[in-house]
Amino acid sequence: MTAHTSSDAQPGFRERAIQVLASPDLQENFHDAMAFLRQKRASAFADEEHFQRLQAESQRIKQEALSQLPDLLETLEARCTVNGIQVHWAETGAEACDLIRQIIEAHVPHREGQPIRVIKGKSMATEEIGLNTHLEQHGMHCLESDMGEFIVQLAKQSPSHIIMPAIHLRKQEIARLFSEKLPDTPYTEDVDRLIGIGRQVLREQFEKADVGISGVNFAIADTGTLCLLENEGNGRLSTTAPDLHIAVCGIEKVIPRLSDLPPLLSVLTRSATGQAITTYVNLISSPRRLDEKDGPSAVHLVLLDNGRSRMFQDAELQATLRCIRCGACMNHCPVYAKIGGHAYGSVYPGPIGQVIMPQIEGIRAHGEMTEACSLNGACGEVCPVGIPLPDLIREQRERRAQLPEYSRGKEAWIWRLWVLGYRHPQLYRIWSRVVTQLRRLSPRRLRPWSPSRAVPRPARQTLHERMKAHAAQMNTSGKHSR
Amino acid sequence: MSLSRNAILNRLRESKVPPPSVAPPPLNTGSAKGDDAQATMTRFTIQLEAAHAQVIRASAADWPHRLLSALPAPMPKQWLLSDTHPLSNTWAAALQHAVPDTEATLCRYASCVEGVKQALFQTIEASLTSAQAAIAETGTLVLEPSPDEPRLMSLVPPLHVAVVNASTLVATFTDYLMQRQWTATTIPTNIVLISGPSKTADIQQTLAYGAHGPKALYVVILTDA
Repeated sequence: MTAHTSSDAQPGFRERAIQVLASPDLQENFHDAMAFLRQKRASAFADEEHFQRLQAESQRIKQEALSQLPDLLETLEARCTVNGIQVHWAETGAEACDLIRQIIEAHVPHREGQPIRVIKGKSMATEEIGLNTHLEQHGMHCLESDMGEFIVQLAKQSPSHIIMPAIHLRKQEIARLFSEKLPDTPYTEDVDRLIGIGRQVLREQFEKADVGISGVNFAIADTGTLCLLENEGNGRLSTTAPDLHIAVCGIEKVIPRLSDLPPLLSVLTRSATGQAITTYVNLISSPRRLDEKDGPSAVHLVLLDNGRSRMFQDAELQATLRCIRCGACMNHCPVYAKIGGHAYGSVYPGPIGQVIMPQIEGIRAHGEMTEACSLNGACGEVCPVGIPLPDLIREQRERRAQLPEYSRGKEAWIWRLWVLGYRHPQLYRIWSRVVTQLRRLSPRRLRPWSPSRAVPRPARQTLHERMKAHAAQMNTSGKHSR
Repeated sequence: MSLSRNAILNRLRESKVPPPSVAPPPLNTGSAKGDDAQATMTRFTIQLEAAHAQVIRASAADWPHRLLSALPAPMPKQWLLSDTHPLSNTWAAALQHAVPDTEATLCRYASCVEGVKQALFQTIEASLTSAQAAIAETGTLVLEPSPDEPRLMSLVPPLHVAVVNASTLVATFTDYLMQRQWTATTIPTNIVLISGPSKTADIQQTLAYGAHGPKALYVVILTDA
């Protein structure tokens, strides 16, 4: 996805964040949406013990899956193949894109002057590999069918949240977008009517689409089943109406058995939107059989690595492969709530993005965002599969600090001096005395801190001096009271 | 392709970071037996209604009558029905009796989808299918589409009526999976759990129904009484 790859010409994380902070509207949108989602989750886990039980069980299942990952993937492949689902493997996003295009070109008959019509269910994995851009470069027509994704695509933007892609837009902006971009559409701010308009447009496309592409929430090894959760029905339509269905699935999505599904479903939907279950849970185990009347005649599963096996080899980062993409970490992140998803400039924003994006696209491209964290720990507390996100973000910062270009910078030198001072008590005492003595000379402006905050001024006395004075006072008052 | 497969699997196998060992799964016993059937039914109904579905309790004899009076006015005329399932014959007869001019507009899902696709997407207003089971905890219907009742029947029409036997009600999804004991060879090609009409909150967190699938879901629970 070209919009996501960082290049020198595009503004960096800091510049994007500053842009958002200058827009009160955007901040209000994110603030309201995050408060809404946090409140929904809180009411779904009214009982903290219930959450902890589900969290422990979900973490256990995902950990078990990781402990047998290569074997489970082979089982999944074997079972799917027996069921008639064709399984493919892709090491990189580019390879996955090529593979998917070839599957489509082999299946859909060529029609002169008429592009192949692809309809997509919501899938972060396809965002990650930039599939739409790739297919469109090859003359295909790709349409997102999740309402939020449809809106974002129409606005030529990218999703700003992994569960609610159009969370940054107000209904007025969507109303304007629809009336400008969709033929014969009057301006209306009525949400029911707006959804009705989207429904009508997409329904026509579902009828005609040649290919449906979806993601996968859980790939169940023992039965060779793909599980897909959704509220709208577009996932069902994308995977049922067109004659060809292609599912794109990160290799970490595999779970051992069907009986593992209920706790994972429950923890995912509660964490994401506060629902006990989504409206639809699809369990897809086979293309249309000979005696069936509908369903795709071919189903393909693309198992995507794209950096995941590298994370698997990394002692610190392996835990991130437990992620079930619920979005709770971003909903509870004070920085995300302030700057929103686009500022991160990456497919996965917020805490989980801060940990995995540097792995997928490199620490040089995405290292800066690891600083956008107050280390408050909320993301770690709400993670339904117990990923120690705060520790991992710190780990990423440390790795970034070890890059040569970082260690030559001004900040690195300041930290080196700081370390020196704190390691040598003599130096520390001299330094703190000098600072307190010369406190009147401390700068009145300290960018970038001072424009929105009071400048800290050194105290009159050092901590050591105050402790000494305190101890002396305690001594004398102790003698009096005896 | 197989090159990538081997490369990925090799990297996973050669990892020097063994994932921590994991305790075996707890023995799954499903929910406690001896649950009050009445309480379970109440929970199922409450959950479904909370999700904006209409619930109708009826006996095998009077359900078409009850359903007719519960459906919204104007009564949908263009119905898609199975051409083999016994429920659809009962319903077709009731419809023709109550609304004589429906006869011409009943569509039977007799051939492959390619033959009915246009009608399905453009003119059909409602469909009626069975549901294999009901799950009380989340107010969920389990549909296992079959040649009798294909996958798109319960999805494309704006109004969906699902008929489920009260005797198939279980407390949880886990209970249902334990009952069915599916393996790779016995699992149906497609299973869908339905917990209400289609919905979305993608525009400014405002809940709207009928995003893509049915705008309305009517659930007929068949009781022995």
